[in-house]
Amino acid sequence: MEIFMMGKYSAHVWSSFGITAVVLIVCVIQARVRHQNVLSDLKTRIKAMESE
Amino acid sequence: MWRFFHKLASPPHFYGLAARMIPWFYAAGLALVIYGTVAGLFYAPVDEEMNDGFRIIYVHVPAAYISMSAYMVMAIAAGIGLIWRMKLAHAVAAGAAPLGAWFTFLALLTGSIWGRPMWGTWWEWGDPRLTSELLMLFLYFGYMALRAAIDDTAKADKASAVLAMVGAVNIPIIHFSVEWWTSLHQGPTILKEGGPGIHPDMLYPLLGMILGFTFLFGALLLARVRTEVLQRERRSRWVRNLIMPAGEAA
Repeated sequence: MEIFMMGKYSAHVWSSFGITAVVLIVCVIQARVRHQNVLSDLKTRIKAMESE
Repeated sequence: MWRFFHKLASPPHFYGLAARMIPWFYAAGLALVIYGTVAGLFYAPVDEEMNDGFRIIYVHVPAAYISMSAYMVMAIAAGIGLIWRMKLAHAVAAGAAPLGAWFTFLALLTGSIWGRPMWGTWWEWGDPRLTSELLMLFLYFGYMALRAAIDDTAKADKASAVLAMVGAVNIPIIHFSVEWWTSLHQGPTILKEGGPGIHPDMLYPLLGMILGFTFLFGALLLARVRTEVLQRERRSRWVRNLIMPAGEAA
């Protein structure tokens, strides 16, 4: 476990890496969710248009 | 050559090609980031002055690098869209903005966490490097707000492109701020006269992280541009066929 200790800067180093991981994951999820939303929105719209 | 570009810029072709490229970009980015994190945290030697605190460099510098690269991508794509009326270029600019904003936020936040123990302060108003990076965050927000405020896509493209290009003057200001003015911020580590000023065991993980972040940004950008293209082409035949394949009853 000792290698995980970053001396007196432990909290600073680990929080920086943690925040970075969270932001990157949020970016990936956001891109996916947006794409799925647009796809399902278009599906509803096209269905509505063609059933008229 | 021109035919190649023409084909590349055709929306259905881009849409399919990007989908095939994204997993590779994610894989390369993830592999490099894992290497950089493990090597940077556990194998790079301790810095003489900053001790283990210097390891924040492995997330701060790549984030700051991408924050500026994303702006360059946005401004250049916006310019291409404006001059050559290329719709795909506008889609690239629109896709780059929110990502650039995220990476700018990340650079500011990790910089703040690093600055606290080293400079004794989270933030210093008036510091040229810090302030110009913060200004870039507001440029991204302004760009996104302007786009969101204009319903007509073509008009939003033009107006936001002008803002993106004007705001690009901030990029050299951020880059050279530490040389032009006195700043709390340290000077360049890698790109300086006489070569990089750090030990190879410190340098390679950093280069790995920068390249890894570049691949991840590439994957995220391709994903966002695909969404943009889909929205812009919603009335076209190919999108209709993509969403409602032949045979599926409406």
